[in-house]
Amino acid sequence: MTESYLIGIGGSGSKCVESFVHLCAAGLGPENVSIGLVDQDQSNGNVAKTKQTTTKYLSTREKVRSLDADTVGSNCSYLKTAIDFPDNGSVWCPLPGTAKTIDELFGYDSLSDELQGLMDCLYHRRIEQQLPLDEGFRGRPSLGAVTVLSQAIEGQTFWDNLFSKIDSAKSGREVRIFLVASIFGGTGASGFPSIARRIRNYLEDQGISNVYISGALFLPYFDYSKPEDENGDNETVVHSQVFLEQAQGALYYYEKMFEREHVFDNLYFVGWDPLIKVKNGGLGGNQQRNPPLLPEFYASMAALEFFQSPEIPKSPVYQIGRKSEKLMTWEDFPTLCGSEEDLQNNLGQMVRFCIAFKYIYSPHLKRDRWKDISGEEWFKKHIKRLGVDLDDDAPQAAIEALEDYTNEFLLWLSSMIYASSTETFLVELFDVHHFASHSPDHPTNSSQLHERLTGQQTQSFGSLVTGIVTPSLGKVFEEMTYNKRIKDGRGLGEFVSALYSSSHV
Amino acid sequence: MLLRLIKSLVILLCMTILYLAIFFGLKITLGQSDEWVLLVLLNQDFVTQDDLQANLQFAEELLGEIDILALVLLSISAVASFVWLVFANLIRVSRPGIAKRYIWVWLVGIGIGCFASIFYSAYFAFEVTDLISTSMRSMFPAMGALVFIAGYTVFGTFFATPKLMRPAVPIISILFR
Repeated sequence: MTESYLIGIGGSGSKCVESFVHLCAAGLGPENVSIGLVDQDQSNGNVAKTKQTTTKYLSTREKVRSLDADTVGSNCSYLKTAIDFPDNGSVWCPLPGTAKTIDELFGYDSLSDELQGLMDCLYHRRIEQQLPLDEGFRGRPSLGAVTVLSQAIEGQTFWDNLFSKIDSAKSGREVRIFLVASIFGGTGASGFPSIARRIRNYLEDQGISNVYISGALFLPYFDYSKPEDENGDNETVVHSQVFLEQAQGALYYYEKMFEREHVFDNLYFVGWDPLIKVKNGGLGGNQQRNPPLLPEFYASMAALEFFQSPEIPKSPVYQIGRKSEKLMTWEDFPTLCGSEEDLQNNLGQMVRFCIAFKYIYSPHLKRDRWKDISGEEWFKKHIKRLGVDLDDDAPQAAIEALEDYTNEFLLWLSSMIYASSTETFLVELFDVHHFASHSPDHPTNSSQLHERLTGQQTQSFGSLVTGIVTPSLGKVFEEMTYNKRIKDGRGLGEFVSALYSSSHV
Repeated sequence: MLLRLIKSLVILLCMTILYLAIFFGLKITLGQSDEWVLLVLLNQDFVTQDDLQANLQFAEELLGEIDILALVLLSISAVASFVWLVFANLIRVSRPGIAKRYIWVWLVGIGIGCFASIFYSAYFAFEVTDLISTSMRSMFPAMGALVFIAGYTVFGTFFATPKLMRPAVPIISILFR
């Protein structure tokens, strides 16, 4: 069995991890994966969002895939991937604690005149040396690099977890590590090569050979207007105008890296032209909560490909492109491990399941409502005869967790499609307006899920997945009523598995 | 959908045959009891003390007329069941909680069927034949209703209603726990 380790660095990296988690929920992920996040900005909204999504995934998975009481059975791919994301040590902040500056980090005042001079040459005295680092590096990789490399990693839980996975390679197990970050910006651009190098050095020190390192780097893919900080000052804010210049310099750097040293076994580059307009990038902290975007989804597919391909892809650099400038369809996605239909089928099934569960079935499973439908065949077959009492707390908690994650998934998908579309560029993957709406005035470009579906929206269930006609809600209900019970499903998990299976594309 | 309808109708056909078999089995058993027909069912105006052959002839005639009544009642049950089953199989039930809304259709079916059965049984007992004893005559409408209800529920809809629509049939969910 292969050990997979995904590390999201910085805001874009963590957003890619969020996409990856949702793809795992749709059954596209590997059997197991460990996830780590790296960000100097501990309160970063994007990182917090990814942590929240992953926690919800784990909570739901625990409730419908526990081995004792409730389980969806072995053939159900819903929430298939066992994600290792411990409460302690899954997020690494290179400089934890109080707001340090580069000044304080190197004890500028106690340095000799020569070293102070060197510091002044490398880092702007007022803007960079005294920039509080608790909200990230504000698009300055030079600050990130010096911070990441200056920190001792021994005894840090994040690194201990990572090295313990790597150590399993000593027993012959293959380990694949995938890093994802943006080539522009601060934390990602600086952390990506620095962390990869640290891992590579560890491998060389330990003499471990069957560990492969890959990664996805985002070329500039979004753009936003300059926000002002509390003092009306926006000098320290990441300016998307400089992204292209940073990216050019970074690409030159990686070209040289491939020539001179073996750090990565291969790399995926993901970009977007024209840049997607994002409303507000935020200064940092929890303000920096950007909507999910399609390039992050692409990068998460790169991670899936790397983790699951039978052999390590040999081409050192991968590029992905789309056919039309004005339109994005299913055909524009690369095949995942050789199967062209996997992505459309699995995501389609996941979306259909989420909508069927959220709007159609879950409202009837509440404590005060289930008795009204307790005589229906599907209920008797998948819930009552399995000994599930919906008056108990445990199944109600499971239903709540399922609703939570379902909302998370649908919001992610609809926000991604709305935020990536423009008047001149259409994303034709799902007809998300059937279950979500989008207000151009929303501060973070996020969409809102409908409270309930109208008759017309319910009837459109069969045409949710663009480009194919899928079975209607009636057909799903028929299958729930007439199909046999899931062989090894137990408790409420059996119902989840049956509904997931009936929601097939 | 069509397959389910065919399945329902096949079940209905089988149940009708079973119903007929039960009815005629019962009739043969009771019919063999000349004493019961002559003393209880037949109008005593047609019973004479000295001509047993004539008495038996009246009894035969009455049983023949009751056959027709039974067939009419069975037809009413079968038609009502058929209409219900066609409706139950063709109506779109695409989500939980919908089937129960159609309970009124089933009740309308049983209401109309009962009314028709009571009406025809009363017409039969009071107008068509005068061979039925006065004491039994008033029981015929109730018996007609019972025969219809048995035919419509037990033989017509309980077993043949598709699973999707069972919540629309009262009591059925208790039977098929």
